[in-house]
Amino acid sequence: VSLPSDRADAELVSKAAGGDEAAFAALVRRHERRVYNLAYRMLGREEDARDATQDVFLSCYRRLPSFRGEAAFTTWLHRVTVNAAYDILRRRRGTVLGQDELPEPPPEPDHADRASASVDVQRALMRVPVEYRSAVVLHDIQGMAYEDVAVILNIPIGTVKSRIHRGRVALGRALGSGSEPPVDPATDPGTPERIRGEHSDTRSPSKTELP
Amino acid sequence: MSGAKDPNEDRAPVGEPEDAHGEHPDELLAAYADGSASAYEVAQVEAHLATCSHCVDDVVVAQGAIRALGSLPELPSPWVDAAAITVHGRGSEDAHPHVSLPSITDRRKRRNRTLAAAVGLAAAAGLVAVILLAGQGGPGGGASTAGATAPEAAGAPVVSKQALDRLTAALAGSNGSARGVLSAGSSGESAEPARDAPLPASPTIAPGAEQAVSCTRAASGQPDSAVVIYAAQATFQGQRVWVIGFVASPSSGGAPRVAVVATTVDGCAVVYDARQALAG
Repeated sequence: VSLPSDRADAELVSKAAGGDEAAFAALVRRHERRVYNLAYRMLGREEDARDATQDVFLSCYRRLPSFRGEAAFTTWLHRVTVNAAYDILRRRRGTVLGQDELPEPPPEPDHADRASASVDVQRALMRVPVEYRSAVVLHDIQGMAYEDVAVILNIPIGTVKSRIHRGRVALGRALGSGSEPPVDPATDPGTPERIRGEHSDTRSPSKTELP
Repeated sequence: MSGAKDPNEDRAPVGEPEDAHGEHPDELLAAYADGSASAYEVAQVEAHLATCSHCVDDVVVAQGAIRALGSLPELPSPWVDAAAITVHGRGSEDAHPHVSLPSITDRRKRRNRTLAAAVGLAAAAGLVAVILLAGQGGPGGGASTAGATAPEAAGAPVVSKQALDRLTAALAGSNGSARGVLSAGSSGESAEPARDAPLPASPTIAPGAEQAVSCTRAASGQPDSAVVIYAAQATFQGQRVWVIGFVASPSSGGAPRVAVVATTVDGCAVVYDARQALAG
């Protein structure tokens, strides 16, 4: 997975923050697919992923003027996306989803068996506890380095690695175990709190946090 | 549960037996399973694996998961409407992005001239709308007093289909009386009309309107980019309804259009749906 270059992003961010709407549109075009893929893998539903993607770019647009470029734009954008997904999962909590409505098959032309295999993987992913899922999706699907995942999730790198290992194990076991419900509500640890450091999500962001 | 400050960070979450991981080098196993471990780490892990069948199993399972994840296709671009975001994004931080209720102040800041002008014109026409609605014999009394307060205070005026047609025309700015009131209520035909106009679609919109807007948007197939310019309750054909006005720019380009949709308060059934191009 290739990441858009940080330098080109910085230039677009600076222009967009100054009111250049074409520059903002270019930023959206460069990143929307990654944002959407991350949201979809976290949420398992196309409609939710679209909502999350829209929320992300709306937040992004509003916060551009306060983005100081201390961290890569992609890193910041991934954090905003994870938080948008958490928000949707939190809203969804309490509504226990039926097995048959989760997830939708991804909207893509594919061989039937391959498509069905990826639905199985996505379904199993939805059974992985959310905190593990975000780390696994960022690293194993989005191709972020362990160090970047640590920055995005605002946790130590050792924690990132533990979560990824446990998340993979949970996923592998879910893949092998057939059709259990997505997450047992009785033991579901719930959706994590938002990651601090989206600037306006927290009233007093610390200096070490991303804008 | 999350954040760097949680002292229980490295514990398994509720529902996962802690002893399953207590003594095992999960951090090293992650890099070992995906082949990114250093030679030193590999040696450490293999020394552990020699004595721990639990971790051997986990590594095999984790590697299966990595292969499965690697087989997932990248989904196509969702084609976000960036232009709609730049229009909506000037609004309040608190507004739900899918229920855009532009305020006068926000409108002033808005850069997109066409849509700003459209919304301004139509919002000014909202003055006419209130008069039209109140003039249909609602319990609120005369137009001059009922129109000056929130529509709830005037009850839910009984409206006919013709009244809604006139509302649509007024919001689209295409009827003479709308223009007359527009110029009377503002200093000329600017995009900054009648700030004191008693707009029922003002940001102080009644609780419940957001949900009504949201279901009406879905029920009538308005695009996400459609801006809400009007929301009021009325009684139509014997039912309590929400009357919602939208302005949307067609994605194919062309002039913005106004849509006025009435949906029942109970059940959000569409009972009226009219669309009209926004006049100059």
